[in-house]
Amino acid sequence: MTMNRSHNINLQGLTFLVSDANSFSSSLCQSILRGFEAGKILEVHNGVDALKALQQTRIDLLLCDSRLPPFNGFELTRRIRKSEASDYRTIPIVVLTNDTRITTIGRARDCGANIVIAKPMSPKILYDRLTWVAQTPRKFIDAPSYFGPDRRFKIEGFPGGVGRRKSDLVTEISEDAGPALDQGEIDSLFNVVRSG
Amino acid sequence: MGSLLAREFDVDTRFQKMASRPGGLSRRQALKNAEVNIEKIKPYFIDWLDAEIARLSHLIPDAAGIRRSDLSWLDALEGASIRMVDVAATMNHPLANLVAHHLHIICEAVRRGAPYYDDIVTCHLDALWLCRQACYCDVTPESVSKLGVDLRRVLLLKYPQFASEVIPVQAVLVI
Repeated sequence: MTMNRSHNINLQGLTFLVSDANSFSSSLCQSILRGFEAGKILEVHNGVDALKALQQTRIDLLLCDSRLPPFNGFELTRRIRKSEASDYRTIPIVVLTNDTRITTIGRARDCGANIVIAKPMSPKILYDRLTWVAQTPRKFIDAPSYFGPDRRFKIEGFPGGVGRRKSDLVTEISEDAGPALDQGEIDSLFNVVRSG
Repeated sequence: MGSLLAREFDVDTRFQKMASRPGGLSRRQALKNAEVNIEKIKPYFIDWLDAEIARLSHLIPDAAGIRRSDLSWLDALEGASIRMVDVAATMNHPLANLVAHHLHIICEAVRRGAPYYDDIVTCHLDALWLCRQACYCDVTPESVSKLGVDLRRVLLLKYPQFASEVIPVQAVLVI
């Protein structure tokens, strides 16, 4: 995944939903997006309101905090990806988290997040990840136990045809463990190889 | 058997289509604008910090009063400390970031069964009050290093098992 592309992205006319219980973090995120000339930014402070906003408004990209009450950002992501009849099922979802242990990042990925950004977030990190989401098309996988962007990684290789894979087992929500990852390592977990 | 098969399909979201349009700001200008906007909300950081500290002050139990069966206060303290770590780092306030990081370590220690010392938490809350004073908002990293070192010493005195998780003061000061 090349994060330092020279490409620009044009966010004018796009609607963002920022879901963070922390009002100051939310303001920070909105300030950064406004700097990028994002068209419209909506703000909610819990997962229930996030789902309502998605139902009522055409949202183009969701940024959600992993600790979003009353469930959390992972569960919100999972509910969005499970909502079969909705128009928003495939929207890009960026999960923001201060817990960068590998199990947490894996959990976000397995719930269907497009990418994870480690907090504290800088404008540069957000811009480059939005650029990646915009300019790196990923196929979606609709499997019995997973719906979301393709999670296959280079190190795992491709299975012989698209079918059920070991990694499609239902994600167990358990106690987090493992070392913290830096943003580069987080990115590599989302690095889908589309060309061999 | 058919129900076990996965379907793979292309998704062309509105975000991808719209964001890839020509025009818009250059990356450089977008980042510059964002930095300017962050500067604009910096004055509100201290107000926010005040509110968080005040909330925490009412939340912290006496060491004698804590019950292992109800750790809701610990959840709240941990959540607040994590929020402060994030925000203080983005707002470029290394001292508040350091103190909040210590509070987070204390929460982790207590959650893993370590004793709870209210004097250590109170000491760090006092340090947070200090952080919010105008004279500490724009201090150079060098001028707070003594305080940072002392807080680290206090923390490790009670929770030596977390030595590897305590950020060296010099590392914090160059954030």
